[in-house]
Order: sequence, then C-alpha cells, then structure tokens
Amino acid sequence: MFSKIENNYTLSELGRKIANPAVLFFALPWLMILLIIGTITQRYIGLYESVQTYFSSCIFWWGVLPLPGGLLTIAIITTALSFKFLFYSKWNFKHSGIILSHLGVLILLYGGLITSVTNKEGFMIIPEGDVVSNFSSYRNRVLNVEPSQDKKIAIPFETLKVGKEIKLDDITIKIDELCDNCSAQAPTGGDDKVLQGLAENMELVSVPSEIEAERNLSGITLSLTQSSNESEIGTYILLEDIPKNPEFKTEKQTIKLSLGREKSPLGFSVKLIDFQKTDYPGTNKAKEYQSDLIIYDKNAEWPVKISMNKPFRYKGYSFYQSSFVENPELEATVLSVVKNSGRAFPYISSLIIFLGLLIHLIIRLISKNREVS
Amino acid sequence: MRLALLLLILLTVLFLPIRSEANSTVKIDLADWASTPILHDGRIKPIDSFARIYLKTFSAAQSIDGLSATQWLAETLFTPDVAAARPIFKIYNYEQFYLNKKKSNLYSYLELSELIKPRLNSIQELTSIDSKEWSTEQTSLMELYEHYIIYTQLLRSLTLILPLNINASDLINTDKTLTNYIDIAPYQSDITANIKKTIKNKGTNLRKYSEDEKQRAELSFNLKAIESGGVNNNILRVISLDGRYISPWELFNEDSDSVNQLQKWQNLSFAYREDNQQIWSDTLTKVTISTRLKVEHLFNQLNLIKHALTFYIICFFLIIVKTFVPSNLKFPKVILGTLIIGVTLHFVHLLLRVYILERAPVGTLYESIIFVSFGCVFAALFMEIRQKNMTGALLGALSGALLLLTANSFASPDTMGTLVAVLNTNFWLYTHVLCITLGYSWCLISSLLAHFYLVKKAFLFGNQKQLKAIQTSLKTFLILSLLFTAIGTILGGIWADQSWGRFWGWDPKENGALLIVLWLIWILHGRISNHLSRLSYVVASAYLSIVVVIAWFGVNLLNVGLHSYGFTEGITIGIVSFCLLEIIITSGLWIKIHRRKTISEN
Repeated sequence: MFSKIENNYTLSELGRKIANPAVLFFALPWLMILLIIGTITQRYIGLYESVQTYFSSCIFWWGVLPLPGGLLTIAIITTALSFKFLFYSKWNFKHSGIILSHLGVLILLYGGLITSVTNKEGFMIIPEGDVVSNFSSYRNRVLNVEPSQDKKIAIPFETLKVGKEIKLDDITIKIDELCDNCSAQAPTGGDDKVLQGLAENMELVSVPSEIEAERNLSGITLSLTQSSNESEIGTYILLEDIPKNPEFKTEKQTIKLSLGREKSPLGFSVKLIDFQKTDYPGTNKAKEYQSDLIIYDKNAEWPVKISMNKPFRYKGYSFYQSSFVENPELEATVLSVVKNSGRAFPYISSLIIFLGLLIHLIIRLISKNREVS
Repeated sequence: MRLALLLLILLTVLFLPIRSEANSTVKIDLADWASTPILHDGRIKPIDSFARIYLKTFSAAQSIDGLSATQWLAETLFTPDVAAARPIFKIYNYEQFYLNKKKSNLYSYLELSELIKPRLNSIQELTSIDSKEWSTEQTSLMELYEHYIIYTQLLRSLTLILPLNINASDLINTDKTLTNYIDIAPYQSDITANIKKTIKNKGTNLRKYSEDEKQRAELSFNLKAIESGGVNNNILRVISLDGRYISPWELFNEDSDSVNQLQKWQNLSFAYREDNQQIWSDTLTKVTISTRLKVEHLFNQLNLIKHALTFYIICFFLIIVKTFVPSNLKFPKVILGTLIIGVTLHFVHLLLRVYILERAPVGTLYESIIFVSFGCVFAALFMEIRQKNMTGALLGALSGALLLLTANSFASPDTMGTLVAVLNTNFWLYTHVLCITLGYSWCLISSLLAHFYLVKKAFLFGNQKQLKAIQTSLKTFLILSLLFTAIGTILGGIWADQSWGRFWGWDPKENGALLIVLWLIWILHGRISNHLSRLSYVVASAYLSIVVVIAWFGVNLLNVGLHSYGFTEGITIGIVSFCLLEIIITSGLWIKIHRRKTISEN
C-alpha cells in the first residue's frame, strides 16, 4: 500500500516535472538558436545538409560537444505540452481558448511526426507524348544491373564501395572508382585495362559536392570479367543521366548497366499530352505553367490538368507542377510527386489554433471590459 | 477653431506641391493622352505610368526641368531632337567618367552618348562576365549603358512617322506628298539603286555630286539610320492589333499594309509639333480608355501615400507640441483628425492598388511595407479611440511615418510590377500574406508599446495607472500578434503544400516566420510562468522589432530557398544598424530602470 502511494506520488511528480513551464521556457530559446543556425548555414552547406544536421537530428556535434538537435528539442516540447494538455490543463470556460490552442499545436506537432515518418517524395520528367509510371528520387542514386529482360537489380549507390564485386552467373562486376560528384577529364592512360564505351575517351575525377546534393553528378568506373575463364571484358564508365549506357552480350546473357536516380512505381501511368508556359504579354516572364495529362489506371483513363498552385491528387499521391524542359529536341514537364499521410493535420490544426486564440482574445477583452466597468 | 485648424492642415498638405513653370514651348494639355493604354512589362497601363517609370529610372525624379513625366515622354517621342539635349540622366559618379559637375548631376542623351561611345569595347567585354564579378565602377557603367539603350529605343520609337527635313517628293519625282519614313519606304529600293548608280559613275566623293544627288545621298543615309532604329524597337507597345499590343515599328515590320493604324499617332505627332490643341483633342476623342486606366492615372497624380506620410508627420509633431507647449486649444481632436485623414488616404491608396492590379495589395517587399504600416496605424488608431490618452496616436503616427519612409527606399521605379507565377493566386495572397503581414503590424505596435513603457518608466513620465494600461494593451497586442503570425505561418505552409508539395521545408522565409511565432510564445509563456519578470517581459517585447526585421528582411540576404521573389540586395547595413540601435536603446533603458530600482531599494 505504501509502495503504491509512493509510486503514484513519484509518477505524479514526474508528470508535473515534464509538464513544467520551465521545460518550454528553456527549450524554446534553444529551438530558436537552432533555427537561426540552421537557416544561416543553408547558404554554405545547402538546405538538405542543414536540415539533416540541425533540424532532423536528435544530437549534433559542436566540436567534441554533443548538443540536442531539432528533433530532440521538438520531441521534448511535444512531450511537455502533451502532459500539460492531458493532466494539468484547467478545464473551464475561461481557459477554453488556451486549451483549444494547445490542442491545435499538438495536432500540428503529431501531424509533423506522421509526415516525417511516412513522407515520400520525388519527381517525374514526362516528355510530350510519353507515358511514365514511376517517379525518381531527388537524392538516392542506384546502380541498375539488368542481367536479362525480365530481371533488374537496383543497388543503392551509398552501399557501393571501391573493390566491391557483384557476381552474376558468368560475369563479375568490380567497382574501380566511385564519385558522388564527378567531372570528366581526358584519359591519362598507363593501365593495361581494356577501355570500353565512355571510358575510351574520358576518365572520372571526383570534385567537391554541390551545396544542393541533388545537383551532384554521380559516376562509377567498373571493370567486368568473365568468371569462367577470368578473361577481362573491359572497363566501363557509368555517369548519371547519360542515355547511352553499356550493354554487352555473353554466350549466356545480355547485360545492361546504368546509373540513375532510384525509381518508385506509382501503380498507374501518366501521359503528357501538352505542356504550356504562358508568359506575361510582351515579356519572357512566366505567368502560368500547365500540363495536360491523361491518367491510365487498369482499364480506365481520364484527362487531368496540373498548373501552379493546382495540384492533382490520386491514390495518396499529389502531383505538382514544379518545372519544365523546353529545348529544340525536347519539351517535357517536370512534376513533383509527394505521398504524405499527414497532410490533413496542418489544415485541421490551423483552424483549431485560430479558434483557440480568438476565443482566448475575446474572453480576455470581455473580462478587461468588465474590470473597467 | 478645431475644424479651422484641421482644414488649414489639410489644404496646406494637398496644395503643397506647387508646379513650377515647365521649360517647354509646347502648351498642349496632355491629360487625356496620359491615360491611353500601353503594354509594358506584361501589364497594360496608362502612358502616364510608363512615363513615370522611365523618368524615375533615368533621373530618379518624378518630374524634370519643370516637365511632368508625361510631358517629358511626349517631348521624347514627338520631338526627339529637342529631347536628346535635355539633361535627364542622373550620374552621381560623374568624376569616374571625366564629366564636368552639373546642376543636380543631370546629363543629356547627347552627353551620355559621348560617354558611352569610347567605352563600347569595355562594355562588350563586361557583357561576357558574370555581373556579380563587376566592380562598382563597372556596374555604374553598365547601368548607364542600359539606360542609354532604353532611351535610344524611346527616342526612335516614332521616327517612322516623324517628318523628315528633306523634300523627298521632288527627289523621287512623284506627285504624292512624302513627309515621313513610312511614306518614303516604298521608294527606298529605288533611291538605293539610284545612289549605287551615282557611286558607280562618280565615286564616293560628295564634291563631285550635283545638288540633287547630294540630297538623294543624304535622304538614303537618313532612311538607313531610321530603318536601323526600328530593328527590335518594341518598347512603345501602344498599337492594339488582334488582341495584342505592338509597337509602331513592330507593326510596320510585320505588316506594312496595316500602317493606317498609325494615323492616330501621325495626327498626334503633327498636333504636338504644331502645338495644335484642337487636332490633339479631336484625335484623342476617338480613343476609348478603360476606367481602370483612368483610375491608375488619377492614382499616379494623387500620390495619396505621400500625403498620408505628410499627415503622419504632422500628427507626430502636433503630439510633440501638445506635450511640451501648454495650449488652450483642444489639440487631441485635431491630432486624432490628422491621424484619421492620414490612415484614410493610406486605405484609399491600398484600395486603388487592389482595383488597378486586380489582386491582393501585398505581392512584393515594397507592398508589404505599405500594408504593414497601414496595419500599424489602424491598430494604433483603434487603441487611441478606446483609451483616448494620446499613446495610440503617437504610436500610429510614428510607426506610419517611419515605415512609409522605409517603403520609399524600397520603391523601385515600377512599384506595380507583375508577380512570379507561384504568386499568381489571389486566394493565398489574400489569406496567408495578409495574415502574416498583419501579424508583423501587431508585432511592431507591441514593440513600440514596450519601448513607450520603458521610456516612461526610465524617465519617470506617467503614473502606475498609465503603465498598467500600457501593459494591458501590450498583452492584447502580443496575443493578436501570435494569432496572426501563427495562423499566417500555417497558412503559408498550406500554400507551400499546394504549390511545392510539402507543408514545411525549413526554407529561410518559413524559418523567419516561425522565429517570430516562437519568440511570441516564449515571452507570453515566460510571463505566465513567472520565468520572466514584468520588466524582462517588456524588454523581450521591445526586442520583437528585431525579430520581425530579421524575419521580414534579414532572411532575404541569404539568397537561398524557394522565396526567390523576395530577395533584396544592399540592405545589410540598414538591417545591422537597426538591430544595433535597437539593442543599444532597449538595453540602455533596461539598465537605467534597473539601476533606479536598485537605488530605491537601497
């Protein structure tokens, strides 16, 4: 009995400590400092790195000193507010505005958590008249190996290491060189390697990464040997987004190699009928972008339009007009693709916070007027 | 007496800009012409707006040498020979270009031309270099060159209909009256063939030519010069053809059969050069001008925002006078009257902008300052009407005047430019942008109120009751600020979700808005939980202005993120100076109050 009372007391004390306003009072300035640092560093290390280091991290290192990152700070604030809201709110009319506002903030914070866990995003480049049924990742690259027509292996770029060997029946692929961001230079020669394809005219040089990692041009130098007789097939270079990729035949199989962005299937297809860029009259300044598309899903097809601020949503995916390609050889639309299970939360929370603060303000003004009278 | 005083102020302000006598021999009334349409920078606007934009671009002034912008443009178009000699180009660093110092640092097109010609090679080299690598001197040179090119186009935009000083009919042996380029153009190939024949027979030495041959050579040379001036000359898009606006030269080069469309401009040109009001007015009576263009012309003429600024300044000085000079006059109502007139003019200015641009009044940084200043004055006026103790009037006049003066420094020659595609949505401009800018307004008023409290407390103005009233108002404004900035920020996230596919991307502009929200939450909760003393809470509220300035202007300095339409250069010194000054003033007041408290306790 005594122990139970003691436990209850301890839990209650713990809850009170978690919900203590001091938590918020000290966590908020730290979050503001992180916000300032994370914003300024975007100019120097890029948005992605900055977000990963300061906002999406639990801990980040300042020299040898570990400091709480944005994720941990927000988690602490969310926990404190949850305890305060559930156990220590004053549930009366006078505090109804505050309670509603806190509820709205909690919905926003938990919605953010759901978004960060479930969010999936990428882009699609669809040339006019083409049908595309997958979208590409902004950052993740993969080495695609197609040992046969019906088989495709995608190896994440970050798992590749120099010297790593990939064995396919009779063929061994060995990674000779890797670079996150490559530049090409004339071959220096010297090796006895059998150079094939791009490797005949160039070799890769690693250059510093771009501030925005999605602008990096990744590349791989790899050599292929026939396992059965250990004869060298050749050394190849794979560069991201190069349409002409190595393809070679052995007695048993035809193997295709390519390096590109990681692709995710949509489960349906999108065809671009027409892309239109409307300029302000007499200028080259864009006023509006619009893509006319056809969606194919199983046996159904229907037309849709996507333009600035008017996305198209289907099967949990949202498609946004983000850019375009326009040159004499190609006219294509670039769509952002996002799957976000938490997208309803900000809409709900903004309404609740608005109501909460408004009610609080009205109650305050009424009570002040009463005091005056 | 009060009414008389108010009327006196009103009349003085409205009739303050007395027009000086124009230094032009042409007396035609250009009022109707000023409203005629022109397509410029993607928007159909009245000629008057077009003229103002370019005059301000070249001379940094609204009028020049006693000429209004419209008069200056008419002179440029119809009498380019006269206009070329008029000093209109502001060159501050004249010494760099070895120019003699002149009155107001203004130089003519002819002088600018002399400056540019020997530097054409350097200019060509500079065009191949990234503009970010140009030195200050090189940037000045390129800016002048750009002005030179634009003005050259303007001077030549009607040369195809302006009279030539040669009797071409006799030279071409025709009965038709040939007065300008479009009359003579059909014969140009004959004239050229004739000249070639003369050159073949007599060579290129003009002394060997007969008088007729000399005149023909001169005519041929002039025609070539006029023709070259028409290449890509599309600055004056005043001809409405098949639903689009094109320049006279575009019309002539695309479809010389439609040149009868230029008859109106030929008549105007004739009327202007002959100073014939009758022909001028008759020509313009046939032109239909939309109400929107007329309103924009009126908007330009009224310059309501300038008058609103004047009223705010007058209001501020009246409060100073009232504070320090004892008077029997019932000042408060006059002060309130000037503030109401100022805010009404300000409001009408915003309404007219909405009507003219057919969108929300906030789309650019300049517009946001105009709107925030209105929000500040409006809130302060509301406070003054409730409390009637001059605090609201003082804060309103001060914030209105300071922000409108700041807006002036952000005003580009064209303050009604078109917006980038992502901003082309009235719904989000009306909801998110207005909400967040109103949030800025309440934040600035809160900060001013906090300053006011600190000054009163530090210098022992006012009593405890007054200080308590300020604190009550401060808390109300802080909650209002939180309401508007929090909702505005979330609405911004929702807009981002609609446009870019994500609610939150830690973009600098988003982070700036969040910073204000967090600061407000911190000071309000800090006070409720007693972690902040009353004084620290007021000081933290005073620092809100720094947070707002960093979020509003500071993040633009980073030049990163998706909000590229808000980037501004050259404001670093201004922002740093403001923040330092704020820190010094607020901390100074804080220390003074703290010391006084310590002494009294001892």
